[in-house]
Amino acid sequence: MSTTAIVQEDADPRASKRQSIFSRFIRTPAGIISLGVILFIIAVAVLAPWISPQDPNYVDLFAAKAPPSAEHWLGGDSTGRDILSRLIWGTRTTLWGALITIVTALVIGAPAGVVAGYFGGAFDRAASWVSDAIQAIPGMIILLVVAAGTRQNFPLLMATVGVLLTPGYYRIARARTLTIRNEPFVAAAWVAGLSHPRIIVKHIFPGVYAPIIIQTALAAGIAMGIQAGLQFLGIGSANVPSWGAMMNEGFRFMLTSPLLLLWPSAALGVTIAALAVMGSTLGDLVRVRTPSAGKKATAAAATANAAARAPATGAFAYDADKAAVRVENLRVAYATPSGESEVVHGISFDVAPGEVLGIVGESGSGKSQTVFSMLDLLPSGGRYEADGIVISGRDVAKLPAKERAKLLGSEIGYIPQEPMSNLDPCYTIGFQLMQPLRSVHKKSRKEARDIARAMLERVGIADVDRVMKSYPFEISGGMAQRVLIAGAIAGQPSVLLADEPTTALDVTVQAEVLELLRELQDEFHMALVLVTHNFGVVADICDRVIVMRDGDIVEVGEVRETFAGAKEPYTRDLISASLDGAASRRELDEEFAGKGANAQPAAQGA
Amino acid sequence: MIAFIAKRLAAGVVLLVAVSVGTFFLAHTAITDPTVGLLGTTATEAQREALTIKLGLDRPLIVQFWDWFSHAAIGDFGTSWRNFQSVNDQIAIKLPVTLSVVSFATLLTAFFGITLGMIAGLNPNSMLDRMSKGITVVLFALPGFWVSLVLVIWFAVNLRWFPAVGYVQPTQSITGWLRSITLPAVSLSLMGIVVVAEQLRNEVIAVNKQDFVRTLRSRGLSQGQVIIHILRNACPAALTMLAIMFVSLLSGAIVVEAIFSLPGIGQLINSSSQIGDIPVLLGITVVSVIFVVIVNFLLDIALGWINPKVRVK
Amino acid sequence: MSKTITTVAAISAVAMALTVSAPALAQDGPGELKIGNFLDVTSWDPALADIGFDGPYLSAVYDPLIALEPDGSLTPVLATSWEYSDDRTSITMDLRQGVTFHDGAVFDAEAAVANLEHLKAGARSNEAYVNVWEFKVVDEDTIQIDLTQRDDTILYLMGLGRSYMASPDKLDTLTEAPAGSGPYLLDTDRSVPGSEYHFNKVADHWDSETYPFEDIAIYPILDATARHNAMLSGQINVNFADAENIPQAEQMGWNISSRVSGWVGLQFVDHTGQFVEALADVRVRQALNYAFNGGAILNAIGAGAGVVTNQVFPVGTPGYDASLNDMYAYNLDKARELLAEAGYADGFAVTMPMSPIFAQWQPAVVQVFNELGIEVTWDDMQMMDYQINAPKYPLFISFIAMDNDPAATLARQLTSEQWYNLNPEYGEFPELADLVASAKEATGEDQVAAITEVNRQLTEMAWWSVWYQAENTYFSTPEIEVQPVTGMMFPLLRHIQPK
Repeated sequence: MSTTAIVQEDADPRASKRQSIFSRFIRTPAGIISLGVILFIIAVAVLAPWISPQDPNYVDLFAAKAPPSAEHWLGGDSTGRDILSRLIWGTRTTLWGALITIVTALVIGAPAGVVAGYFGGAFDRAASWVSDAIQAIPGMIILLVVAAGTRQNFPLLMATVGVLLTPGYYRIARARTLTIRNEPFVAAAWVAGLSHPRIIVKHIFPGVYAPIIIQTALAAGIAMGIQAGLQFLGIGSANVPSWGAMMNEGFRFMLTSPLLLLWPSAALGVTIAALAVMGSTLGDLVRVRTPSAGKKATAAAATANAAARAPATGAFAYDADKAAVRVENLRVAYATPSGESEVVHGISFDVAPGEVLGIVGESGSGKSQTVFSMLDLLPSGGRYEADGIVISGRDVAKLPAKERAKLLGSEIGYIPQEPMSNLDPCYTIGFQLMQPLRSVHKKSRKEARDIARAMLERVGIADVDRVMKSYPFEISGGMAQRVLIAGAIAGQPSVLLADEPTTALDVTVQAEVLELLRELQDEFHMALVLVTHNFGVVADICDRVIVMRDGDIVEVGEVRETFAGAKEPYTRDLISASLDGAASRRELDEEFAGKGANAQPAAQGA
Repeated sequence: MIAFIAKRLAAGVVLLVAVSVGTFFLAHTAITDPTVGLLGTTATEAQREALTIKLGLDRPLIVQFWDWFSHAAIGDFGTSWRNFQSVNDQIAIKLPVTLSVVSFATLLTAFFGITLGMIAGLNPNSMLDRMSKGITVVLFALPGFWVSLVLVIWFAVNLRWFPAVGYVQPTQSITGWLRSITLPAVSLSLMGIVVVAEQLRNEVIAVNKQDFVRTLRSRGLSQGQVIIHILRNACPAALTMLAIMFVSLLSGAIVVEAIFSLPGIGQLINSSSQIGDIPVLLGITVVSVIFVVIVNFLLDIALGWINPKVRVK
Repeated sequence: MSKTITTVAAISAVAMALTVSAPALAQDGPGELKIGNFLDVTSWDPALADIGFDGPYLSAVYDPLIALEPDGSLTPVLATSWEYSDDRTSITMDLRQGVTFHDGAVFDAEAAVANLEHLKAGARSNEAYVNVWEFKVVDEDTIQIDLTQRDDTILYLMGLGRSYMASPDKLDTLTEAPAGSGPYLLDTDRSVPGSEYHFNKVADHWDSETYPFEDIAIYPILDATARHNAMLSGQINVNFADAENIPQAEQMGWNISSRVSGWVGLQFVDHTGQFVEALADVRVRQALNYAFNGGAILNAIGAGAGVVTNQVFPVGTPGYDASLNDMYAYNLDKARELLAEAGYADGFAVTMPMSPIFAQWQPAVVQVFNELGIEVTWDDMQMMDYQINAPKYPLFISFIAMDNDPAATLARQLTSEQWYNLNPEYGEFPELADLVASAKEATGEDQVAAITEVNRQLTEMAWWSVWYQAENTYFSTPEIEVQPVTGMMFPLLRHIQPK
């Protein structure tokens, strides 16, 4: 009973997501217009008998190729039939053909894809093979042969087109199903005793339908295009009004009566365009793009924010000229459809050379955004402003972007959080280490290789030759993080920014990596800013710590002092949550070795 | 590697056999009596019967199939029923025409599709992106032959920069050859450019959001170098599109070949299907499936080179 | 001022550079004839070739025995003269001497007989020789054609394109490469089968004067608009044109030549009412003559390129009778009246075949039949199927080629078995059969008069519902003139001359 409830809960957000995609879709201008056009065209097709001004087959030989007039709004065709009426009735034929095609492709392709993706095995192999085979068939030959053999049976031809379009549906349905099937909640549902059909209906369908709709929009356009092409080759009945047949006729008279070609081309063009726009708008929504406000909105929001600005939080520990990094009143904001939303509300802090500063906070506290701002690498839609970001004595916030970028890799090093996703999967480790050395530091290939190797050795990688030649997916997470550290320090930066460098690693590896960072920081006398959510890490290697919450700094202080007596209850909560049941490595060290950690750089000044 | 090639080759052969068997029986079911189409209307019943016997159409279908299949297996597609010329020769004459046009179209598609897609993807929602999306929708919506016609009227009839119809062999004149395939290639490429650009744009946006791109930038790499990293990660889907386009145009360029009066595979398909010249149709089918197999193989190798992770599978 | 001139000069230099590097466009000299034809050559073997559009191809590489001229007369080519025996069952032909084929073989009576036997056996050329008993060598330059019965069409058909002479040694391999004695040689190096054919002039051809062009190219271009574009862009200088483009041709200053080529209307298959009883009633067929406004259809669909008539004899040729034209002036009420008289006031039901080529006339038929209450079911099919199946329907929309010879017209439209006339029914109607029989026995002027009489009878019986005779139209650049020939869809090279 309770598991069913969980399943229900799980299904619900999907249902609401479905709602939201549609409502978001019709709220975009492209979405509402394209949908409007398509609904209009469908309405025209359905209502053809009532709205068509004349009989589409009524021949008035004296109206042949007549220009538009009160009687024939769009003129007469080559035999004097009313073009508007034929266009309206042609909508029917064209949509009917597209419908046959889509339904055929959908009914065969989508279920086969779902079943193949869900159950795998022999059916998957067989169906995938058939799908590949269909794609290999020269479609036009089949269509022409079928046309010859069935005396141009229109529905059958369009159904054949549908079969040829089946692989598109099959592939999409299969790929989506595979992804969803591997989600934990599907396993949970199965454990909970749901039958396969129910799981497919409840879990797979909601995930598959969106890409299928997009595919359908595109396939409908393609089907209409193929239909027009076939009719252009003279296949299909010319007596039944259709856009393709009208275009074929118009082609003949294009030099003398270009309107004959214009009307059906425009009708077909607008329809296919509407379908394409609908497909790509839906596609964008399904991919959930970062919404971005226009420039005007950003500016407006910025002024609005400025009015409601809270005072900056945080404090400086050093004189401006002594600090390796000094961040003053940093604000970070992201564009949302409803305007700009500020995630860091004006914080100030500094770090001395050779000092390790921990930035602690829960996710969403703005700590990573702080790091990205210092790198000037905020994700798209993000924007920061600051009274100053001084790095090695220069206020980089005022530098042009190009100048600013030059600091990266030489002045500033960056160690990311997730080791596996931060290496380019397409290049070897060696290449990725050597490329910045060669292009930023202008080393020769050999020098770069030597440095890269030395760095790998330095970060404790034993099998340097193999790792140099390896691709990221061929090494372990711990090793990858060492590679990233090697990459960050290879340029001998004076400031090292580490964003949760150990979070993604095993506990044992975490300690080693922290140890390594501390050693390197000490060795190169770098200022290290270490972002973490874990006070244990802070206790391990930091000298000072700032605690962030909801975009503000709530506490700044020496690590020992903070541990001894945090002023803020929030800090105390964080400390107790982090240290719950696990002593920090340093405490253990101190306990057993009886000796203090590396001498803290004295907190001069302040 | 050798195992991989052998496996792909075997799969290709199976595909080839399956598709040609299917097409053989479909064609023979659809086209019941080709003799009228072949002999015209003046032939007597006896002459038709004689042709039926000459073509071996009086034999059971399975015997005809084996006759065709056993020859096709050693690369002999028989003779055309229309003019009794070797199907191999006819395809050999027409294939270079279509290959020239389609290859050129694919190159154009690759160049413009990738350029447009990269620009749009690196600057999502920018003016450039919107413009390229607008162009994309217009090109997607315009029927291919409509574009061909406009091209002919402008560039061939009015400006006379290119010939309106016909094909010049490269052996006669390289520039003439390029001119003769330019307009058809352009009109064939438009749709592909749209598809490739859209595909690449979405991939670039996705890759651009990945962590490693930020890390690459943090290492101080130039925008150009980062773009190459992004492109390499983003291009497999677009590359697959290009391969599909190339293959499908080989036998799918019928309308464009008609408008430009190019003596290519498309025209051969059209004329052969109208008179029911099954050996020619089958020969073209087999050749285009061979191209599918080869192109897919090359594509797999290329994708494996681009992203080594794929290679391992 | 001088600056403008320099600019103009620079622009034209660029334009020159663009043109010069395009060999396809460059050689616009008057010495070259570049024909835009509709269809590819059916076969290089005259026995398997079609008459329709093969004329220019075959007449380039082969010499015929006899050639048909635009006025319907026959010109001696490799045959210098011919004579019927008194009972008209044997023809004696004198042959030209001193002609050799391109491969060196000599043209003589042996060669001619070998060729004629080859043609008689051919699937397409046999139509000319159905009544031949045997071909005989009389002496080195004389042959004799013995007929099983009198045949008034054999010479006409030979002139139309059924008497091309090929090298006797190569008769079995003609499908692969032509081997004739014609004024031009196929240049296989420059030709691309299916796309363009180039011919080089044979220096010492015996009839060189008739073929003044140095170089000939023929481009088969299926699509009329593509052909027109090719002419506009200068790639061809003679075009098998679409009458639709005549205004533009006039604007371009091209020569426009036209001649009727076929009749458009309804072919009644079932005059005896075997399948559709109504068609056996002459009033019904007459009603279907009254019901169609030929002039309007011609103007709307045929771009006005044709002549309104209700006969199948080419306008202005022997057998045609202008006085008959008023017989079925457009009158829908009269048509309804006649149907009512015949007992079909509410119409009747028929099934008709349809194929893309005929689709342009379909709306008109639908319309008229609708007015008359005739219910039509259409069977769609491709052209190939149409030619097999159309004559199995009681009636069908037709465009049937005409002949510039009264006897040939009588035979090919009425009495002989054709794809569009599988079971000639005239024999079932004694009044008609008698007239046909006497026309077949008459000769010369008497025969023409008798055939005209048959024509009158056919028109009265509403044997067909002819709407109009359509013209084939050819465009040519001002320095070239084309003389169309009724009976050929595209005339021979001898009919295309510098102006």
